[in-house]
Parts: sequence; C-alpha cells; structure tokens
Amino acid sequence: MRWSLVWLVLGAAAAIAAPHVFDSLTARHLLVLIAINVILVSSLDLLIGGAGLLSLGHAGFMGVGAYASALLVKAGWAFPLGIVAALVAAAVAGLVVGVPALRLKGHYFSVVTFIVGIIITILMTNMVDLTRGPMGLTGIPFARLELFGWEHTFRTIIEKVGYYYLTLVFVALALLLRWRLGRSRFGRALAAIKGDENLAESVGIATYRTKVTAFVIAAAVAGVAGALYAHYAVFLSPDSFTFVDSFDLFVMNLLGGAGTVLGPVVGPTFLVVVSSLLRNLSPALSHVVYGVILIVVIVVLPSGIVGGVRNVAARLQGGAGRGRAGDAEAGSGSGQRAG
Amino acid sequence: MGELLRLEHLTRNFGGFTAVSDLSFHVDEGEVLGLVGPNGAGKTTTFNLVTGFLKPTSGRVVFRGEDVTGLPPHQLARRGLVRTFQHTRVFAALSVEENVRVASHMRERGGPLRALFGAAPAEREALREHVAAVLQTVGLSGRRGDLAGGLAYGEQRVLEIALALAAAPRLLLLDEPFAGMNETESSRTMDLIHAIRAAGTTVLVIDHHMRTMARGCDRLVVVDYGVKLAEGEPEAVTNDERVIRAYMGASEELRAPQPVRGGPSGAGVVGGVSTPELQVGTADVLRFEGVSVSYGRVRALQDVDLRVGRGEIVALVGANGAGKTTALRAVSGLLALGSGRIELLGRPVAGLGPAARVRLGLAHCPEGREIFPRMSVRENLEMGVPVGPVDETVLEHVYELFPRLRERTWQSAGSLSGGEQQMLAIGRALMSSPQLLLLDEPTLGLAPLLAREVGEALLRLNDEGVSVLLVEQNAVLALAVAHRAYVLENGNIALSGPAAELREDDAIKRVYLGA
Amino acid sequence: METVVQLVLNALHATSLYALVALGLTLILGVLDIADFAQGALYMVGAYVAYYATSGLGLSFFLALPLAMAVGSLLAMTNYVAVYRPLRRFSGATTFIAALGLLLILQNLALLFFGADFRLVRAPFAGVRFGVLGATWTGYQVFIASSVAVLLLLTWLFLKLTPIGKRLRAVSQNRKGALVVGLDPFRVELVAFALAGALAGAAGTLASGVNAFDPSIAAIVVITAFAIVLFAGMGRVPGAILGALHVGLAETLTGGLVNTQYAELTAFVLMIVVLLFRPRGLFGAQEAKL
Repeated sequence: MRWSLVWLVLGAAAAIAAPHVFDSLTARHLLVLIAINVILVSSLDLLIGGAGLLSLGHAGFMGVGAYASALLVKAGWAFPLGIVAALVAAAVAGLVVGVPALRLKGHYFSVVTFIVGIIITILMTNMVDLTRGPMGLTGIPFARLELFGWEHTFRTIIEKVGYYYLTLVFVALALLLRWRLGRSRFGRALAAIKGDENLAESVGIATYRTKVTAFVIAAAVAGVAGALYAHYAVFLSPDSFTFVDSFDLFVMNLLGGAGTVLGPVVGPTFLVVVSSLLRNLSPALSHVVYGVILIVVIVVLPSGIVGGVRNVAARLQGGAGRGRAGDAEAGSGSGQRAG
Repeated sequence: MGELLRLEHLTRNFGGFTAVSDLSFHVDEGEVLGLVGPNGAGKTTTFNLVTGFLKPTSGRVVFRGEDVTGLPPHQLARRGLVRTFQHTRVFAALSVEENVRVASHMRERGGPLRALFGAAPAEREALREHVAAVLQTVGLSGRRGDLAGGLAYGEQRVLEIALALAAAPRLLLLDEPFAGMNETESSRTMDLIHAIRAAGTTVLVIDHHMRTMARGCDRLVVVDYGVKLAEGEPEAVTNDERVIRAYMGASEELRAPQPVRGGPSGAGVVGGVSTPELQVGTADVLRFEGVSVSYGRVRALQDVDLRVGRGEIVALVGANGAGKTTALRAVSGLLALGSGRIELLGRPVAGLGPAARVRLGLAHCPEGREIFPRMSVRENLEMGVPVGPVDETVLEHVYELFPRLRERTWQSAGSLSGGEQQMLAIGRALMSSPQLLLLDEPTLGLAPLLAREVGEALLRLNDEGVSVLLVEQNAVLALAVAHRAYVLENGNIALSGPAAELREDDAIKRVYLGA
Repeated sequence: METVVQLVLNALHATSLYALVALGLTLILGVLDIADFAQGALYMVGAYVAYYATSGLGLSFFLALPLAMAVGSLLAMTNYVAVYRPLRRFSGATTFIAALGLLLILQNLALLFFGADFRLVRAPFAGVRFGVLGATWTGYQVFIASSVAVLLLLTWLFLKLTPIGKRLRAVSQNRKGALVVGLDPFRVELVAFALAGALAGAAGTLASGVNAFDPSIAAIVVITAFAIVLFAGMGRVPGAILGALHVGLAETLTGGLVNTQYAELTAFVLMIVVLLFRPRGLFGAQEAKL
C-alpha cells in the first residue's frame, strides 16, 4: 500500500506539472490525448482486468459519446449537459450490446464485440444526415463552463493547458471509480467471475447481471471520454473510432498492466510517448513496432509493465516459496484469462 | 428435524444415453448423507441436476418444500443450496482471505453504486468476522494472506469447503472431497464435515472412499447406471448383494487364460506377423521399479513395483481413484514420473515420448476409448499406425477378431454403440502389432454380454502371444481372464498374486467396499 | 437494380473466397485451438504477390496463383514455428493476443513496403461474358468459382485420402486419442498451417483481380472469416463453408437490393442474431454448463 501511495503522489505531481515542463503545443496536445486515453483504458480495464472479458470494440462507445455530446452541444445544449448526454447515450449503447453479447463466452464474446465495433463504425459512417459521415462533423463548439458568474471557454486550438486540467479532473474521477469499484463487493464479484465463472455462480453471484452492469459502466465512462475528445478536437469523423482504435486501447491496457489501477495510466503514457518518438519514422513502422512490443510484452511481462514491476519488487522483498497476494489494488489479480 | 431435500423421479438423458433414471431419495435436516456408486454411475450428473448446472429431462427437485427444479446455480445458492466441485475449484489468483470474502457475496448487499460510497463500517466489521469465523472452522486462519493457487492440494480442497461454507448454506453438497487423500487426510476431512453438521448445515457427499464414507455418513444411497440400488445405514448397504456386485463386478462364464508361453526365441506372433525380438535376457515386457507419480499436488502413485511377463495377462484392479489409469498413462509416456523407473521390453523409457514407445511395441487403449468420431471405422483403425504404411494383413486379422467392425468398415465411428467403439479402440491399438497392450477399463459402461465378448477377444489375443496389462474396476471379470493381478489402493499396491488366489481372498472386498 | 439471379451469381465469388479463408482458419482451430488472425495477412500477401508477379515480373496470372500459395504456405509455417509454437504453453488469451500482434506487424510491414495505394490486378478472361438465366457472368468470375471449387476439392481429397490428411483430421477430432496412438502432433500442426496459408494466399490472389486492395484488407477479411467460423461452430468444416455462403449472400443481396453501404452490416447482424440463439454456433455441439 505504501508504494502505491508514493507512486500516486508522484504521478499526480507529474501530471499537474507536465504541461509546464513540456510546453510546446505538440507536447501539450499529446498530454491531452494521453489523459483521454487514460480514462478510456481505465474503463476498458474494468472489463479486461477486472472481469476477464476481452472486449474488442470499446472505441465504438467512445464514438457514441463523442457524437452525442457534439451534436447536442451544437444544437445549443450546455457543455456539462453534453457530457451527461454522452454518458447516458454510451450507457444505453452498452446495454444494447452487452445484453446479447454477454450471453456468449470466450472467443465468441470477443469476436462479437469486435463485430459490434465495426457495426458502430459503419453506422457512424452511413448515418450521414446525422453525423455527416466520412466528411466529418465540424463546427463542434468549444467546451464552455459557467460557475457562479465565472465563465470560460476552452478554445483548444490555441490554448490547451486549461482543457488539459479539465480532463485531468475526469481522469481523477475515472481512476477513483475504478479503484473503488475494484475494492467493493461488486468488484469482488467481477474478480470471481474472472477466476471461475461456474464457481462464482455457486456462491450466489448473479454472473450475467454483474457482467452486464460492468459492461454498461465501462461503456458510459468511455462515452464521457468521447465527449471530452469531441470538444477538444472540435472535429469528428468515424475514422477515430475504428477497430484499430479499439485494438490500440486493448494494447495500452495489456501493456500497462491489466487489473491494476496504475496500469491504465502507464500504458497510454508509454505508448503515446513511444509512438511520438516513432513518428519520425512512419505510422506504418510505428505500428510494426507496436506489434512487436505487444508480442514481447505478452511473453516477457504477461502482467504488463505495472504487473511486472510489482512482481520484481515482490521477489526482491523476499517471500520465496509462498506467493503473497499483495495489496489487491484494483481488487483483482493481474493475470489475463481467455475471454 | 424435517426433510430438507427431496429428489423425485429424477431422470436425465443425453441423446440415447440415460445417465440418471428415475432417481428418488431424500435428505433429512441435520444428517450427513453419502451418495456412492461405481465410476460412471451417474453421481456427478445427479449433483449437477440438483445444483442447477443441468436441467433434468423429467422429475423434480424439492428444497425446503419449494420446487426448485431447473433454477440456475446462483438462485439455488441464495436459497441455501451450495456445492463444491469434483476438480478442485478455488479462485487461484486471489488470496485465501479474498477467496472467502468473495464467497461471502450473499452476506453483503449492494452493487456498484454502493461501491462509490463504501459499505457502512458495521457491515464491514460483520463481514470481517464472518470471514474470520469461516477460516477458523476449516483451520486455514494461518494461511489467510497466501495465494490460493500456491496452497498444497489438501489445503485447497479445504479452502473449497470454506468457500461453500462462506455462502452459509442450509445444505452443502460436496463433490468428492476425499479425492487424492490418504487415510489420515480423509479422516480429518470427515471430522470437518461433522463439525460443519454440528454448526447447523446438512451435508450430502459423493465419494469413492468407501471406508471413510461408511464410517462417517449417517445413511448411504447407492446408485449404479443411474439407478438407485440401495438406501439405508452403511452397515446394511455395504453388505447388500446387489451393491457388492455393482462394485466388484460380475462375469458371465469365461474360460481361463492359456498358461503363459515363453519360448527361447523371445519373439511374439500376432496374426501371423512376427514382432521384434525382446532384449536378450529379459522375460518381462514391462517393469515398474519404485514408481511415483503426482498430478500437480495429488499423489497418484507411490513407490509402485510391478511387472508383466511375456505372454501374461496381468490385471490391475482397485477402486476408482486408486491410481490405475495413472499407471497406464505413465507407461504410455503421457505422464512424467516423479521418481522410479519404467522398463519396456527391457529398455528404460525415461525421456521417450508416446510415439517412440509405440514404435517399441506398446499400444494403449485408453479409458473412454478416445476414438475419432467423424472418421470411419477403417480410418480409425488406420490411425493405429502412427507412422508409415498400414499393413493389410494386420488389418485383416483385426477384422477376424472383431467381425462387427468388418461389417461397419465405412460407418462413422461416432455412430457405433459403446461396445463396438470399445472393440474399435482395441482393434486400433492392435494395428501397430504391439507386444504389450495396455487396456484401460475396457468394459466400462458395457452390458454384461458385450463385456464378455471383449473378455473373449482378450483371451484370443493372448493366445497369440500379446501381453496385456488390464486395468479394470470390474474386479471379478479382470480376475477371471488374468494370470496375475495387483490391487491398488490409494496409489499403493495393497495386494498381489495369482488371479485365481486373489479371487477367493476376502481382502479384495475390503479394499473395494471398506467393509 | 440488378436481378436477384445476378446478385446471387455475384455473391458466389465473395462467398467462395471467404470459404477458402474460413476453411484455413477452421483447420488451425481444429488442430490447435488457436484463432490465427495472421491468416488475414496471408490473404493480403497473396494479393500483393499477384500484383507484383503480374505487373513487376510480367508473369502470367496463372503462375502467380501457385506462387502466392507457396508464399502463403511458407509464411504460415514460419508464423507457427516462430510464434505460435513457442507460446503454446501459455494461455489461450496470450496466443490470441500474439495473433493480433502478428496481424498488426504483417499488415503494417506491407504498408511500409507496398504503400497505401489501392491496387488492382488485371484479371484474365475479364472481357469474356456468359449469359446464365438472364444474368451475365464475366469470364474471370467463372475462373474464380472454378478455381475455388478445384481448391476445395483438392483440400477435401487431401484430408480424406492422404495419410497426413487423415492424421490432421484425427488430431482435430480428438487430440487425446491421437496422442495415445502415438501420432506426432508437430508434423500435423505444421501441415495444417501450410495448408491454411496456401488457401489464404490463393483467396487473396483470386480476389486481387476483382476488388481493389490495400494492406487493410488483412484485418477486414480475417475478422469476417473468423466471424464466419465462429458462427458456424468452431472446428467444423462444413459449417465454415456454409457460413461463408451465408455471409457472401447476405452481403451481396443487401448491397444490391437495399443499399451497398449496409451490406456488411446485415451479414454481421444476422450472425450475431444466430449466435444468440445457438451460442455455440450453428453446428457447434450443445453442451452442458460444466
């Protein structure tokens, strides 16, 4: 517990200081993207690390939230309401998808989520009257907050720091949510389902209902991240929410460490940084490197970076011959399970 | 003390096969009831039917006066009906304490919303006490922080019981809690079961360890082929003729095996084709020296010595779980030895894979037959030759031994009856012209007439010089066809000697029935 | 709007190509229980081999086909030996992820070397037309259909009649039984990959003459093919082929009758609906919970 606290404080300090240390426009842009991805990956981790559900269409829910907020705020709604709408819209989508999909197990579930992600992309592309399809939705209003007379519009094209801090607030909320869920009865039920679904049933856990609930929550959070993205980029196209993007989230989750709270922070940071370094090369080469990194990590560090570090630390601290369960930060083990 | 659980005419079919047939019995509150029966009798299926993992074809399950037939497991758990599983199931990635906490799910309330604000301190305290109490009862308090996956086998089984307890059941169903345990461990576990009963939980147990079950249960229900054979106090039940026959088997009249042949040439003959010579100087086709095998944490075989001489039929008998199949798999190379050595045809086989051993002259006909269901009879037989071309004369000989197979050459193996599949499996094993044939439970699930046919085929094979190591639960049949026999009990050789002598020995009955 | 007959005819070529890939996936799933997503890359490679063989090397299309199959085969075997086999002691999830990783690597290597431009190969017999039942069929479509038919037939014969083919079926039907009789799984697994690679390569080559392609088809095709396999019930060959038929027909009929853009959608939605009622696929075994 102590180590985690240290990392937490350091991390928070680093996050807050970051835009001032890296003060180029590009760097700040990357920071915002990292922050949004942290929210996304944290929500995905509830499913993958928390319940062992390999959901491969998660970017779709981000897209639903993004378009929901963008369209409503364009129509005149206030930004905070847009966020709420994104949450609700994505949650509904999660329900619609989750109820049927979660009746399937293993490979079947994963492929169905993958397909659903594609379906959502197709819908986004084809409902041109609503979303303007591949031409893209422009003219999304900047985020505008109004509190007790103080008013601020986050014009993110020129000024990114403010929006970054706004996003950080949501990051904190998302991480807090993930942490608390992990340590709760609900989180334990998910861990049980991940470990052995039949055994979980026998001790009275309503597995189907629990899985659907988790799926909806994850979708809802992804929707909020989508809304944050929409008002940052002020331009949306279905290209941002394809299966490739779902796959990227998946990679970030595993890389960082599924089933940990810090994993979703480390994963996106690492990958966005690496990819920006690789940007000097080319997008294709960077993806090749991604693929290689993924395979290497899976083999060498099956529990991701955070998990790997923890294992090394635990081994250094002794306790040979008997595994210590360690502080179950996110309330579940850090291994993966087939779907 | 009333009736807690009642099964009424419970039946379950799987396609053409009836696993459980018109089964009725009841469990009274406060008792420890044992459900026993030979392997494949339908006990686990019954459990699955009662606990919601399978729906019955017909019949009812009544729990505490309520018809609960077909309810899913978690709803049964909420009503107080909880089970453990045959192959140890715990949450390996969680600590012992977390395991129990998870299993206490029904004692808590709230979903994700509650998670945000946290449970009330009083509730958290109550939960902590509950978990501590459960750990105390089963004796795992000292291991609370350890990973469940790292526990010793016996401890894991106990943890499994703890999980079921944490769900605070009225009725606890234990699926083979004594599996892999020796006398002392079983005894201790039975004591735990009594303690659980004393604390107010009724218990229904399935297991094969007859001695422990007979001593520890209040009543026994015996099933075989899915049908109830007997019900009552252990003393009466274990002396019931039908029960004895069910466990130890019976055999229609079979002739005795030919006396063992062993000429100086050392070569065997199968179907007119000579098989390679044995190493000079060895009369044994198979030899075990101090063999021990463990499955993970289960000690399946302990320091076993045995031998099969050339031309012999040797039977390996014993109750279910005694280690018989393990022995065969070790010979085949499907399992690694913990210690000791195995010699096949005079050659030590350590490090040789299954394919190499087949080339040495070994063939294994496994439990459950393991045929290739969507391939024809002929193709299945062809697969018995793992490398190289198929010898048509050998194939012809197999058809002679099993005419039924010839009639069905092009039929898909999956559509054959159980007996025919068994013959197919044996035929397949013969295709490589083996010198030693390993047969694992060849008469399992077969009607007596078919079992007899298999027995006769065995004798004919032996006439031709094939040595056989026969594993059977049906001790009577096995002892009828064999020259010599070993009796395994909990991984150790308890008895051995000429089959004719063992047939008369009461000691065998004790091993099987604990009486 | 075209007639239904015309649409069905058009569907046949989509169907048949999916069938090839689905067949390869099924073989690997049956023998090793691995979801080999990298097969999509082999399909893509097949298309590019056809392109560079015909335009770069000036070879005839009829030579490009066997060449692509050979390349696909070799590549598949390499994947197996270099990645899947070493990982076999890990969990299914790990192999799944490794497969995705492989797909990513191969797809993007192609992007690097071949660029993102869409390519199309000049197909033989393109100018010839046949009239069948009031609809027209180009010579190349006939060629595709017959090539696929031949390939399927050859594969069937291989599996049915050759010793190694029979062993492959044996391993996929009962691995335990196969081990017990002393079959060597390595050889069988290698052959499964070689065969799957050849089929995928062939499918890609045949497709290259009809649909413009870029590296991204790797992922698209394999997802569809895999979905077909799951939909039909993993590891069952007739299911894979029937499943391909379903998808091919659904796509083309919807595209022609309703709206091209919703074509893929229908196929997928139908698939999901079926999976809901038969959670183990159309042909998969219905088992009890435990």
